[in-house]
Amino acid sequence: MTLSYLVLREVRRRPGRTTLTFFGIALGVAAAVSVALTTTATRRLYRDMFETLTGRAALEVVAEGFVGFAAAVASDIEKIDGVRGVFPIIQAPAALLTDQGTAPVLVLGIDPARDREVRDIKLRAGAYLDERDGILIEAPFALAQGLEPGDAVRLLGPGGFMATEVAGLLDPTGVGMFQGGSVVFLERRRAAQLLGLDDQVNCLQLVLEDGAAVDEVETRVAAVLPAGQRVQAPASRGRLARDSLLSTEQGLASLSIISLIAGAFIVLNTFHMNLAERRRQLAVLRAIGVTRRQVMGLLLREALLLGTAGTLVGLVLGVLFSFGMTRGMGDLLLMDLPGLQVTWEPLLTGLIVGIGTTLAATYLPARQAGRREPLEELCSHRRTDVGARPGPSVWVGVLLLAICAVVTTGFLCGWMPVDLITPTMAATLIGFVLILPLFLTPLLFLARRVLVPLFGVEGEVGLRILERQRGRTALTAGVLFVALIANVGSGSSIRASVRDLDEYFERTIVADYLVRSAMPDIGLLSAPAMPEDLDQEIARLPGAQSVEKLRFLPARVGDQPVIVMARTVAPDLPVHLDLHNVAPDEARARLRSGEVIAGTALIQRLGLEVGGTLTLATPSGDREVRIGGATTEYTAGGVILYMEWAAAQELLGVKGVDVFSIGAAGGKAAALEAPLRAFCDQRGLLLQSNADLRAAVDQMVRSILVSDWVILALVFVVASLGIINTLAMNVLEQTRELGTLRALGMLRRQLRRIVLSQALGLACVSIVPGLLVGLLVGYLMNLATLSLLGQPVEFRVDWVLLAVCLVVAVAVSLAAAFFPARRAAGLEVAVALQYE
Amino acid sequence: MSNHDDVAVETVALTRAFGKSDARVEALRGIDLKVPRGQFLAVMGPSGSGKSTLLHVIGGLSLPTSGTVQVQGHDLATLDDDQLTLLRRRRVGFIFQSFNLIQVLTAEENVALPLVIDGRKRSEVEQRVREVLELVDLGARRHHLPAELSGGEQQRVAIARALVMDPALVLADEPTGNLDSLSGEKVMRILRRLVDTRGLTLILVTHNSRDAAMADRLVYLRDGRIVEEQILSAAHSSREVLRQLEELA
Repeated sequence: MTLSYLVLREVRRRPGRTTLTFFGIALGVAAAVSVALTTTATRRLYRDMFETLTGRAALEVVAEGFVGFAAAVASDIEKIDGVRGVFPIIQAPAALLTDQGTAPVLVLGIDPARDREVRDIKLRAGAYLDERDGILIEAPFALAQGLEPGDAVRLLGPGGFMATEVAGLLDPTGVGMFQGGSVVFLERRRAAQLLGLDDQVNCLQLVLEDGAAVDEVETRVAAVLPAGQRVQAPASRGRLARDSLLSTEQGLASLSIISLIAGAFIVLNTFHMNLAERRRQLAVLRAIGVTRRQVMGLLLREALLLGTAGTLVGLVLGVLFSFGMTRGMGDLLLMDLPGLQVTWEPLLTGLIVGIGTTLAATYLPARQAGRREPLEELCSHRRTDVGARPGPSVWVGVLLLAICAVVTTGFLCGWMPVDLITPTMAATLIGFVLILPLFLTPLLFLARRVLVPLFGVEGEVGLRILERQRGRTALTAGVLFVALIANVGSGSSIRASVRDLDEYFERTIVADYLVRSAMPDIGLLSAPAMPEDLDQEIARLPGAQSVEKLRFLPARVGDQPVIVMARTVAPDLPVHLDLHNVAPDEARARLRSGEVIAGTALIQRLGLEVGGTLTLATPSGDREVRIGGATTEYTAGGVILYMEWAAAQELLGVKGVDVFSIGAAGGKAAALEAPLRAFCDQRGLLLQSNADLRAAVDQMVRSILVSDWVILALVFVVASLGIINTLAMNVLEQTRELGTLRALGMLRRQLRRIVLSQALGLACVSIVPGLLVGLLVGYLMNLATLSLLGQPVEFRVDWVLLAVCLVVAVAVSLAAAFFPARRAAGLEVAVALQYE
Repeated sequence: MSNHDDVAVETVALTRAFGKSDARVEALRGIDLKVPRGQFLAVMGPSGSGKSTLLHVIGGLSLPTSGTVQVQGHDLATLDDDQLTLLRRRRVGFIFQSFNLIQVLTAEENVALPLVIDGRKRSEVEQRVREVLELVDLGARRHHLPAELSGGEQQRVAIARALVMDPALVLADEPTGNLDSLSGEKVMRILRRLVDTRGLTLILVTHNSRDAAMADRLVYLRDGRIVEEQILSAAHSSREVLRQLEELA
């Protein structure tokens, strides 16, 4: 027999506690892994989106704003050392109109004679573009659209409608897989016509010589490019989406870390309890010659076993959870995310974090076990609580909170990177739990005032038991405390943000109807554009009073990718923006004079000032533009510039319209719907009423909120495991006392009430600080939105949320007490009296 | 049928077995025992003879396998769990070898516990607790936790707790087993005084001949059966009683 055998025996001897600890670890790891996988999948989506298009091209040349430019520079680039070939193409979103409706697609205008040199495409049916005029589409996408070779289709782009036919179908590989296959290959000149680019292209794809250093070639290419054009890696276009989704990802990551912390505290508590229970056993081992190091190793091995098993199951659960979370993210982005790719990085991270957290949480109890004097433990009959008095950990907590306070101030002042928000939040939570023992006495006093009138002597006995086990009580209450902080803090912040979003939409979306060809990609805000002159036709419809044109254009301010929202600004209509420090009329005048209104997030991120200027990269080179005002903006994560239509045309060469925003004459909104719908149906366009748009936004917001609330609920589940663990241990330890109480005449239901009062005592100890600190964390999280959104979301005490959290905490505690209470009530008195 | 007024405890053909088939252990094998009110009965016997089991069954802590147990006229087999609990609470007092005090309660609170459980008025609780603590000479240590008391003091707290409901029957399971001889003697003197002055029925399980010598009657158990029974008359000198008991042992 070896000591490892003893480890296995111990684990098997306590199936209940082992299971609870195991699931505490598993759920924490699952939350972290699912969020990591979902974030990775989303980022990969945007990276792959552009990589699949590029085939063998390692670099691409584009003009600022992705507008068209003459391909003449291609000949200069081809001469550069390391460049094997330059392939002028056109890439732009457009709408494919079939009998089944309108589908957003990416049009790829290619040179059929040369394109096979850069892309592997495999024809499944029909003919290639050098044999037959028309379009090539991916076979499953064609099947979904009910299309076969030879079928007539129409395409819609800024250049107008184009009638053509399906020339051939492609195998779903390589580029054919772009965005679920929704890519249309078209001869380049035809694509230019569709997209209103005349003889221009909007991308030069560069295939390099084998072994050529990409960075060096990039530098050489950049040197020959005219102002307004740049060379880049194709995947870099995904950065805008990453910036847009930053706050969503940060939120999910913070919540997953909270789950993991709750799991870690359960492990810590469990091993403290194991230690208390096995004092005598460990003392015997020491007495017969087991060294301190071996005792410590014994507990660490047990932790390793549990940590590894829990982490492995957590990884599997994390992968399963991530399917649902990825679907939620897909709903948010209005696209089908590709099948979840389980990559090794998040799994490896989960494995290391899961096992590492378990071992770290076990280290202190294991060290304590090793330091015990065997004789003292063997002779002592009195069970003492481990960590009964506030120890050094309290001061570690105080130090941690002090550091977090400094870092949080850094966020608020903008001199700390936002990437540190998640670890700071984790450290803050740990700090608060560690200092909880300092407040245990007054909190238990408070609990007594509530519970003794309700439970009488049973409440008194239950609370005395909690008082005796101060260390255990503090750790268990700490897990519930974390759950409450997470739910109140994150919940307040989430609900405040949703409220802010609602108010934002209330103020900014005032159009009665919107007309677009398809819903945009939320990450990149790219959408198939429509011909500009449709506005004249819409304006002539009966009941239409105003028609505004909107276009989202990718651009750059310095190195920061931004979205320019070009819009018509009528001289006599108000500007509906969530403006700061500038009156709507003044903002309108400034926009019409060529100034921009910048999103507060962009202003914050780049350190800009209203009244100052920014440097906008345009196809004709960098241009200084004056910032006429700031506006709260949720679109594109607030990294946005509003620009008047004419100014955008001049600076960025805007062509085509993403959205027509239509205002009806007074009282004629309903009457306008029928002619507008007929207009859209004829042209395969999408009509949205104000209510439709609000519903679509609500749906998007809800899709991500579901993930947030599920993780928050998970933290409560983890907390309940901790409470079950502690109450079960209390019942076990007090078996003899409970037996005595029964012998003295206490009824079974009275014993049950003792356990219930302990559970409620734990709830009371957690609820007051949990709600208070939760509010503080919520307040700080709202302030921290300053660094993400450029302005803090207004904080309000959310009484409904507080009430719900309070009820849930009490309910979770009572539910967690069920089995321990049943066990206590079911004790055989004579057996319990003999319990050692 | 016994007269309820005269008999505190009566067992007829009482058996108690634990485990099943090969692992079955018969702790009690047909015990017939009648304990009159006000009697101090000592139960002796070697380890495993069934002494504690007999006490548990009489106290309703464990149910008999067969036979009957009547405590102050109540057939325990006819009582449900709640009724048994109430019987224990109001009519039976327990004293254990390892005191079994509730560690989180003070001496006074431990003693008050049965009264509080029973829902007595605060004034009554305070008065009764004061009385019984004085009775065991612990009035000055009332606010101490068990861990702060000596073994003898803890056992006196346990005696006070057993008496606080004014039970007619007290069951004591080796009450001096964990005490030094001086403390043990003090505890036994208290118990003897209670029987003499309050008409208490006391069943004492013990290994200690000196403790047993203070009883009115002795039964000796071996292998779950009563093998010897003796009235310890006051006429016998204590030395003579001790000699007889040692012979039995």
